[in-house]
Amino acid sequence: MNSMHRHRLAGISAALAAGVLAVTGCSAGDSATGGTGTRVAPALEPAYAAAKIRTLPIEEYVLSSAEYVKIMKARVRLDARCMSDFGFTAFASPDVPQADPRDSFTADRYGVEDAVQAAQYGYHPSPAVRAFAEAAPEPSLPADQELVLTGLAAERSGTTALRAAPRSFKGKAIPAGGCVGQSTRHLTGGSDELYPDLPQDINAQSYFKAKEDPRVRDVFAAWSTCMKDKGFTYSDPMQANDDPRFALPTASPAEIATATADVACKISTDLVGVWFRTEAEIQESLIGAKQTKLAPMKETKQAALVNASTVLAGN
Amino acid sequence: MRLIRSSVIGAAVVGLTVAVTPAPASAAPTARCYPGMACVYYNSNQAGAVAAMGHVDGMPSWDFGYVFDPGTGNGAGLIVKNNAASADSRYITQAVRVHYNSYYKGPYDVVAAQSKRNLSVTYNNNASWNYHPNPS
Repeated sequence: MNSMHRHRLAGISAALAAGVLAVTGCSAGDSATGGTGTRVAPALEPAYAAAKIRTLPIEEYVLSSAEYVKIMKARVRLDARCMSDFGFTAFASPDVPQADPRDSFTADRYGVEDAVQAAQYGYHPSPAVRAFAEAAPEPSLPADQELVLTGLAAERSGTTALRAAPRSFKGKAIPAGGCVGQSTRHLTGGSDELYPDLPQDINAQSYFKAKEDPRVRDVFAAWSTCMKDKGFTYSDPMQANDDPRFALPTASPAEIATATADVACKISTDLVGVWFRTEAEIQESLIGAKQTKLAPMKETKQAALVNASTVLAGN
Repeated sequence: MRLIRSSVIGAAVVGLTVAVTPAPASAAPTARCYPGMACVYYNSNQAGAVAAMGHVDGMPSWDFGYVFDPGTGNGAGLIVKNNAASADSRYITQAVRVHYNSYYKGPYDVVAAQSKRNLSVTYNNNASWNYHPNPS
């Protein structure tokens, strides 16, 4: 899984043109480990380490990948204590892979931007990305551990006729949501949600509104004209990305030619820059209208990160 | 990499006595999804037919090119792509992201470990899924 984001997240030139925030490094506390991790992110190649990431305003209200990893590493420690109370003294929840600091909430949001990736893989993921996506990430747990850890029976119910799970194990009451639920509430100060709906709903609204914005429609039209001059007919770049003709195991020469033209036309029209700036502006407005609800969510997120630091520091 | 989890499911009942109603946390996943996997549903609130987000050989996650499980409710047998309304995850620590476009592109919804939610940007617009976070 080396190099995946090197290609996925690149978009260097367009990102620089957008002139936004620099890469935020991994949190320092992330070196603390929980569980038994086997997947480690490799060091960044210098050219890509210098790349910039666009950051949308809503990301302030959503856990970043690195923050999610930090929360999980702390939660895993709390899980282990809770499981130990139930007699599973050697239990360790599976570890999560270290997040790439460039793996933002908006990674690949506006499609392929990197000419090297387009020339090699078209719109398809690189072999490294593919290998990661096709890996089974977690081992199964024995039924008794699954029950205590999650509060759910390991037996699944395909239909909506749910099977009831025991509420206690060996006479000891299982917390709501199992040890995971208890650990999560410990970190958040009572909430079961790490990714509340509202920020993600705003993420959706801004995406749809931006696509209807005259500035974005104009730049789509300019891109479309640029593509037409190169012999390709699409109304917008994601239509090219999702072209059913490209639904093959690997990229065809036609797909590579299309993706290559796509990247060139994105750069010549500043499509991603315009799209990103327009969406960021729309998000600011949506966020402003929901401050009363969003502010406590940000507080919960920040509190969870502080609590995670405390747990990881061993207190 | 072939999924081997399904073998555990049958054996999972052993040792458990089904008792009173469960008390899941409010955001907890449903018992409809496979342990150690995430799922999408044809309807909101984890109703309707279910399909796993777990990898099987020959079923790349970049296009949701498979169908909802037969016999699991409204929407069973329909293609999953652009037909999912809600999701949940029974992964222990791994989250998943559901993408609006193919090949893990476009905006995405996060489904955290041990959670459930109705899809937002990808509501009936789920084109691909991947793990979250992504390592490099």
